[in-house]
Amino acid sequence: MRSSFRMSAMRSSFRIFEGKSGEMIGRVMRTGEEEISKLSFSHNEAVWFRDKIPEDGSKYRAELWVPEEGGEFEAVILDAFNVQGVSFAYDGEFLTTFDLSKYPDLINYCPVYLFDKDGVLADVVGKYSLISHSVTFRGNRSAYFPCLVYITTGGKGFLSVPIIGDQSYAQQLTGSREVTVRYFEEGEDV
Amino acid sequence: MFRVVFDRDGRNVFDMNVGETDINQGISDLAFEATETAVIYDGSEQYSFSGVAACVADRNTYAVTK
Repeated sequence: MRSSFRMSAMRSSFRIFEGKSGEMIGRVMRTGEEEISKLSFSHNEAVWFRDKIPEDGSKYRAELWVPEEGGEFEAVILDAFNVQGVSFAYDGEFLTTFDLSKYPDLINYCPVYLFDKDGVLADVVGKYSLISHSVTFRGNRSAYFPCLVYITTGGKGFLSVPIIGDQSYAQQLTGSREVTVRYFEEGEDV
Repeated sequence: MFRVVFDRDGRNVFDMNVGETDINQGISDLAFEATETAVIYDGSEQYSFSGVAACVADRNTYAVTK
């Protein structure tokens, strides 16, 4: 296992080509300052990006990829919000609401999951409301924390996602593939 | 069919052909702009646990699975 925790300048390029003609139909180039680079991790080993939102006001991103075909794997980037839920009775059932107004970039109806020390509740998903700036779940879920979950699964895969939460990490949930994970402060798109 | 290429510091680190593309989240106009949100995935539901979700406004989300 190899890892690096030094800040270093980086440049990434993401391009999309039409398959038959080979014509490039999209391209994004980005510069940034890399904070964490971990070149491999084994099954269930979490790579933590941060445990609080940086106070520098910068934007951060995580990238994760398995470049070669191989055994099936599932890798996840979890972006969690340090928000306490409020449970209450409504129309004969308990509901739990999490106020996410602290995170203004969330998209209306984006899926929000719940997690605790045992992991993510896979079958429980809420939809963020831009009107109330909150997400509500059925039942008393006040023991959990809300989070965004990004997954890539298969024989090879790639993820590049913005990180906005308080606590964030990557983890290979199934499989034992070599997974590259990088977390960096975004620079300008060029 | 699309081919997706990702380079870091001038070195190719990921290259894959994908069969299905969600054209509703940014590349429908074939102008894949940095301000758009794009999700490329293998045909699973976008808003599901097994899919890839676009969650954050004005920040790109890229994903490729096979």
